[in-house]
Amino acid sequence: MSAILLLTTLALVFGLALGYAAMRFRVEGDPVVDQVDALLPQTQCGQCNFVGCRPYAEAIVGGEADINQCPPGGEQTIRALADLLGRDPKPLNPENGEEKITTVAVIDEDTCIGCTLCIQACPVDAILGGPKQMHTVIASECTGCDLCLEPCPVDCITMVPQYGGLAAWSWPRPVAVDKRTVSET
Amino acid sequence: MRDPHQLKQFHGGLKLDGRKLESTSAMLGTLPLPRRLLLPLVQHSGRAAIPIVKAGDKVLGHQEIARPDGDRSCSLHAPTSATVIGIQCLPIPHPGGLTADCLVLEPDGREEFAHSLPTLDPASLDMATLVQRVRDAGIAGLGGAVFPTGLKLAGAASRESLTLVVNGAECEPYISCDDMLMREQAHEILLGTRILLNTLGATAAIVAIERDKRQALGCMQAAIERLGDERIRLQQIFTIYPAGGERQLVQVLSGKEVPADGLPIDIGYLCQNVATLLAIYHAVTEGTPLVSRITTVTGSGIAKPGNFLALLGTPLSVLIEAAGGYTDQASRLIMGGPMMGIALTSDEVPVVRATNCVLVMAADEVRTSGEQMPCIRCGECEQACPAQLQPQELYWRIQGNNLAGADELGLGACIECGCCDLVCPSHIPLVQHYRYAKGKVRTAKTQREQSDVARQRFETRKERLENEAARRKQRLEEKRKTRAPGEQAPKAIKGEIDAILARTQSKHRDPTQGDGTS
Repeated sequence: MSAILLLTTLALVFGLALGYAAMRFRVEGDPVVDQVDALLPQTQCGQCNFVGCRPYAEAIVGGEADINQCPPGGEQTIRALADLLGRDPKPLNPENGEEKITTVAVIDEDTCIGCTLCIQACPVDAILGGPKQMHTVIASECTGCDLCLEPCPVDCITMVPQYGGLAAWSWPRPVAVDKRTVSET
Repeated sequence: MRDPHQLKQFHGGLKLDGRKLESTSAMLGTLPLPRRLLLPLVQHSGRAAIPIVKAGDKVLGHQEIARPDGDRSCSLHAPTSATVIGIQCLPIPHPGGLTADCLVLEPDGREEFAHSLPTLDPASLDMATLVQRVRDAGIAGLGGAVFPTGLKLAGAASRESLTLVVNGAECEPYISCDDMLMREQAHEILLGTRILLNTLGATAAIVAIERDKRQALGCMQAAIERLGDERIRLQQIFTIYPAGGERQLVQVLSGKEVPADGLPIDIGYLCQNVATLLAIYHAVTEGTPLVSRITTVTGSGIAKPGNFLALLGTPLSVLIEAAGGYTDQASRLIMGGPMMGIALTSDEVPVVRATNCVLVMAADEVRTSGEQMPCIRCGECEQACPAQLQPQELYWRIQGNNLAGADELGLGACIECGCCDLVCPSHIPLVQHYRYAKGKVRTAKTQREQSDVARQRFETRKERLENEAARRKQRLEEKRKTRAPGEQAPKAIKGEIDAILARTQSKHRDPTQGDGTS
């Protein structure tokens, strides 16, 4: 009898403790979505068919999207996502686009008519300007998403490769010359 | 002086053939005034200097021609009186063979000098004035890292129980510029040391020199006795490469290891190269900025090796000519030493602050990538690594593209000394792999930072758009509410709208009916 009582009391105590802990330490949002979102390049380009990186992250976690739909992230991101989610890495889905070098938008200020359409299209507010005023791109904030190209009525925006100068230079991968393969071929 | 045998040694390192006799047998040489001086705007670690002169300007020697862009930058001064030709994108001494903006000066040969910086009294110098002066004089660490000295000193300010290390350990083979400097200007180096000792409030200064630099040891010993400052003492150390590395030297002198993610200053030591101390001395007592340095020109590809006092911006070809030109064996041109130097493709690049040595090697002294064999996991590299890393494991991880894994193993602590390269029986260019991986890790880090910024901007924008939409909705709602009490008005309006609708509809049905203008 006492055993039954003891076990019931214990069950009650633990149940209450767990219930309290669940309320007290409730995690806001979905931590997995946050982790996935942190791995995405935040270009906000929509090439994955979702309206930004976070919605794509939600779709991945919800099983609505695959991990190989992010062209700006490329192979590196796919690899990181595969690691995080315990899936097998796979090549980038060509339907979403292909991996390109990082670019930055440049507005030809002589041609710009000041229509503000690109400003509305920019997902990260990297374009400055007002109605009938010249627009310009804040190069350091531009993610190179290409979204401003399409709405421009006078086609005055071009994407140019990002150039970081001396500071961005880094050592190339050493070319592996294996003596065995050299002598064999 | 303590016996070097009592000192603690750092892990690994190598005993290398010094090959310094060739370049130290002659006196310090001087150079003819070059036809052109090419001064890259970046010749320090940090941001490029901002030019403040334009093409056609006449400048005096020691006049500032580019000012620093922030703390982590260095100003630039005209080495001699000259005419500014302009800013041109020219090849610089860079491992990638890149070009960069250089101020091009044409010396006028008059050698007139400006006195823009007043002389300071070393006895009554406070920290802020010293840091400002070091910045104004464009001084960066001349040991090789060319880190802006002003920033390094500022980091050491307000530290208690600080020991100053005068780095006269020039451990890399062939290089002898600091050796030469200590022989020629021992007293001035010590005066520079005393300025730092007084201003920083440091308790002691240790002049560290390798045992085999007999003459430099003798000169510094004599100068220390002459100065009679009991805070400064000489310390012989063993000649083991890379004993001149800041972390290794502090470990030898103090017996304490510098934390991998910290600096010597974190354990109370501040290292300054002897040439940097001399530059500080000149900047304080004479108000002269850093416009020249001693450079070793040596190697089996050089006819008459020696040390030369070169103005910054002097093309290397001028130095090589002064050293008797190339020999028939000359094959590879290197700036720096054989272990850490960078290969150059042209001798038309200028002497910069970091140019401690110009080395020309013969073809049979250079190892080519064709000799590489697979790693046999022998562990020799691990025995040689002064940073106590596991080079072979790093190599395997980098080979497998596991850069994050390599970073976890302490890739960042690698000082790129090249010891592992040299001992590797398979001749694997390990340091090249580490440099590549370090670059990748750094790029990934900046990308992550940028993507964090982009995420925040995206979310802020989304929030703003949502707020705007909500406000619009609220305004509409309010309008509807204000109309609610006067039930009549909407009805009247409704009647009018109905009338207009009826009119237009009938017009559409029969276009002839109407005012006749359509």
